Amino acid sequence: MNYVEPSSITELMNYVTTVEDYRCLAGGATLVAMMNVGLVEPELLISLHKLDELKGMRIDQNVIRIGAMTTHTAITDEDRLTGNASLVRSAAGQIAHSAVRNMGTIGGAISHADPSADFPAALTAANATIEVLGPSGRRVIQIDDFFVNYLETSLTEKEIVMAIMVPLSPADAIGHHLKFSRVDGDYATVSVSLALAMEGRICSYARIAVGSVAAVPLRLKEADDILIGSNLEESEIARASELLLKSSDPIDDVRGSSSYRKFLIPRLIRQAVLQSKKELSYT
Amino acid sequence: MANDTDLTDYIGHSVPRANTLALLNGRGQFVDDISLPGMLHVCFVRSPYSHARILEIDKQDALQSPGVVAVVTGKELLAYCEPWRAELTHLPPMQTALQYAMPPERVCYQGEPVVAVVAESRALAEDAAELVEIDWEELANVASIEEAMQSEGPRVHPEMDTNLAWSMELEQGELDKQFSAADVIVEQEFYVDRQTGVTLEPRGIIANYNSADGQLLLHHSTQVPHIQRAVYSKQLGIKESKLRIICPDLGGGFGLKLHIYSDEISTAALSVMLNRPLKFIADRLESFLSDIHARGHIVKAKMALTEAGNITALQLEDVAGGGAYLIHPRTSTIEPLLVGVCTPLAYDIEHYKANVSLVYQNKVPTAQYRGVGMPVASLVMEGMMDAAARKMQIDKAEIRKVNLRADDAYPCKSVTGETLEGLSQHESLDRLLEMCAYPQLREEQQKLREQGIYRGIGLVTVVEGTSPSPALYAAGGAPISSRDACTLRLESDGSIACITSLTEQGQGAYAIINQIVADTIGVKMDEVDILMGDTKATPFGGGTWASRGTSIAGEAALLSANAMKEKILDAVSQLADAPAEQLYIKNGKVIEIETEKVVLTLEELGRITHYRTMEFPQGFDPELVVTNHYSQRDHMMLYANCAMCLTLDVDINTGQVKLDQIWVVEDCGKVINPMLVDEQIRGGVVQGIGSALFEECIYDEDAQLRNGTLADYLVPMAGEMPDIKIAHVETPTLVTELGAKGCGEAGIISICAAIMNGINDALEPLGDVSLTSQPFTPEKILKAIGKI
Repeated sequence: MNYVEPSSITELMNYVTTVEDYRCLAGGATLVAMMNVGLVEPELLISLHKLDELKGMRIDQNVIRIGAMTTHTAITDEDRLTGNASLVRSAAGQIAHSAVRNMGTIGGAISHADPSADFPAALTAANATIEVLGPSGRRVIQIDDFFVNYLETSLTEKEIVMAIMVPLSPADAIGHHLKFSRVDGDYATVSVSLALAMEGRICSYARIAVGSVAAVPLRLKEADDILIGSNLEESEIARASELLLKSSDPIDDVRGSSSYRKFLIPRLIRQAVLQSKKELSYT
Repeated sequence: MANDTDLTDYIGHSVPRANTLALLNGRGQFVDDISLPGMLHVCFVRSPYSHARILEIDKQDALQSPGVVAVVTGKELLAYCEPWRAELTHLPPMQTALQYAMPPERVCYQGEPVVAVVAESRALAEDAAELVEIDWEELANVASIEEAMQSEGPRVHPEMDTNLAWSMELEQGELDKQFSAADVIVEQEFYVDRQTGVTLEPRGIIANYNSADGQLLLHHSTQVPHIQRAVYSKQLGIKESKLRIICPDLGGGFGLKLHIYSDEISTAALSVMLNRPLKFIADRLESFLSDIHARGHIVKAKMALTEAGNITALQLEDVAGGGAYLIHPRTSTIEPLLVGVCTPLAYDIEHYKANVSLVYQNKVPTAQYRGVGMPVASLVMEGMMDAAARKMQIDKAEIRKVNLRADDAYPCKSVTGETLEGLSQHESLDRLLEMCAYPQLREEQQKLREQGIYRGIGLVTVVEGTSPSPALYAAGGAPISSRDACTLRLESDGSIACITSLTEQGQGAYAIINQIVADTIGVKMDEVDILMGDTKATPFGGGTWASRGTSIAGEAALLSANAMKEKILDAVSQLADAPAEQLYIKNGKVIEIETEKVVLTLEELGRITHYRTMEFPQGFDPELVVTNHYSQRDHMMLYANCAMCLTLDVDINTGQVKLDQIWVVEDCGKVINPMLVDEQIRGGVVQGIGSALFEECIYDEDAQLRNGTLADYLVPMAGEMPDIKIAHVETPTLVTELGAKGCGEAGIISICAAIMNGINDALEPLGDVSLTSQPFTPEKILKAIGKI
């Protein structure tokens, strides 16, 4: 295996287009573990850590652009992640433990597309868009189109994630990532990500995604539509979660059986919605 | 006048551990930190099947791989390592199978090593290992305990008629009569899943054979260097005197590093074969597939009580899943044996019967792991107590008080024949109930229940077996020493060199010996320089296992320190022309009692002893070196006791258990270092939180381990640790001068049962719920209350 550290995008694209079997190394939190176990054995490992364009966060027209190489810790500490975007911050702080958060990056996390990880569901609920770069240039992928299957994204073979754009609006929305795991810092058995806003007693904005219950984060416009315009009463929450539950297709694994995950879905949604509603009523 | 800086009063005080600074500074030295000139690395090809025949091994491609020095099969290694049969002859007969360093023909568990690849680096060895081609014939396997017990069906070892490795019956009293006369009968079945030890530092060994002098030097992560030396000597055919084992720093043992492991002994044999230093360090994946597993029980229990709650009889049947082999040299039988012996120990039970057995499975062998059988014994006993209390509507503290022996009932014998020399169960329980404010806990529980919060209170009173006599293992022919020794030597600068057979696995053995020697002689702790873990240098001894370090090796250190003090005073009395009885030692100075005058410093004594011997009177030449040993031969074990209470909340929407607070009152006899005892209790508690709530080795029906990574095998972390408040009652053992009993296992023995009882207590408003299957996972809890 060879290892390179390109210092420009041109140099990066050069490697990407000329080498067949490569992997891009971001924080390495998952990739290095997979290489250690022998699950992944690329011929070329391309470190992204010298590419300044992938670093940092900036706000442009009410959208925060988070560079792909931004660590979970940096996101957790970022107080410009407000309104709708606070959801991303809430999720980042719950990923694994601080040692992992110091290394792991948002770009790496979503490129890996593990449905039980925290960012896929959180970014889905936060209505993010993903800026990607490939040999034929840049394009933007809406988050709902980004995750395709277990560990599979809609990135074409030579594309890499450059940045994640998260709208700050609605500015009065709050984001909440509710994660259920048996031990602190574990992958979610089920997670619920939610951005919610209210005008008086009426829900003016809602976007829910459920993680770890299907091959990709589970989000239904119909479920959001039930909540929007409602008073977020128990019955409305129940109807929305019923829809999501019906669309879920969780697997059996060491973290829980499919039926257990299905048991959790409506309960966690209810908890997340009610908690957010309560919080909004104080603000 | 004495001033504080002169004090060397260490015994009984929370003195910080001197040897931890190096570890904190990253300057510890573990086996993997050591590199020898010319050293090669070993990697093993392990069986992907739980039961299969090896038809053909093609190693040609592997041999061609870069950096490869040798590729060796089990057949080829046979000439360098004799196979062994684990057996203890003082117990009922064992059906034992021959185990090889690497099996030549047939593998019995997934992960069993079959081919060793030796290369210039671990990475190159791993690359080459992938090129070894093996033709397998898969055989029918035995996965679960239930399958193993079937009279028809596959056998783990085809030469045997059954999968039964061992069984034993213990019976005392008139069981049938008691059951037919009983006012109340309680029956429960307990299931305890397998788990493993997960030491921070994985197993490892560096073997360096030198054909020039026939010496084999092992740097080995083991708790028991002398015992390993005896076992390795026999299997490798190298005299013990030619075999030296050095234990550098150890990152956790928990019983896991007591046994003979195929990969480790193969590494030693390969070093002899190749006449080269070789290193093998298990990686985390190998650890899950090859470190001993533990527990794995199905226990049926039945208990008779009077109307007043007195237990009149107890009967149990335990089948433990032993895995593929009876692990050598201790065998896997002691786990079920201790379930049989220890289950009734805590209470005054007169009529008892236990049938305990061990079955073979095509899984990793199970063996001694922290608590050995006793966490299961207490799970059963304490589970039965709570089941009876629920059924009879008696308070859970009350039913225990009714059945505990009076604190002045000792010494006495348990129904299983164990001598209980002195316990303080009533005093400990009373202190515990006071410390946790038990009545208020019940009131609070009631309030919380009204708010829809499922608060549970778990209470247990247990007995912990510690410091075994040779009757436990050595009587059965195994080379397992129950003795420990300590050599002390006055050095030329007046410091004390202390060479102990005890070993440090992170528990604080070093600090305890340091305290005992310094306090007893009367010198500062940093004037005592400790050496441990080298068979060529230290006196012979058992090492670290079964909570025996402080009680046994500590006693040896005390005896030596007393003898050394006497020798020092004798020598000084010769120099000062004062009777030894008129002298004492304080902070490294020999002082005359009457005048409080310093007669001589130990520093000066060191100089005179080693350089200016002419200053001694003619005919007197002091030998300021002593060795004393101690072997606990009075009782099978020195029993300690522990009472624990905890509060927890069960979330019935998720099945999640949240531990709230834990209180412990422990009696391990004389406490040498309260801080270290508390650390032992806390460590045991946290490890047991893992057993109770998270840890299980999940196998599928083909006996393939499904969660053999730290991503999938859950262990408790800081977030899962509640506050643990600890208090002590001290009932010193009378068999030693030191008076200490062990304390390393009380935490894990108590906590599993306390958590189970707490969960069942929390769920009481939901009807007759009794959860008895460990680990107590959210799904099992929801199933028990009919939610899924």
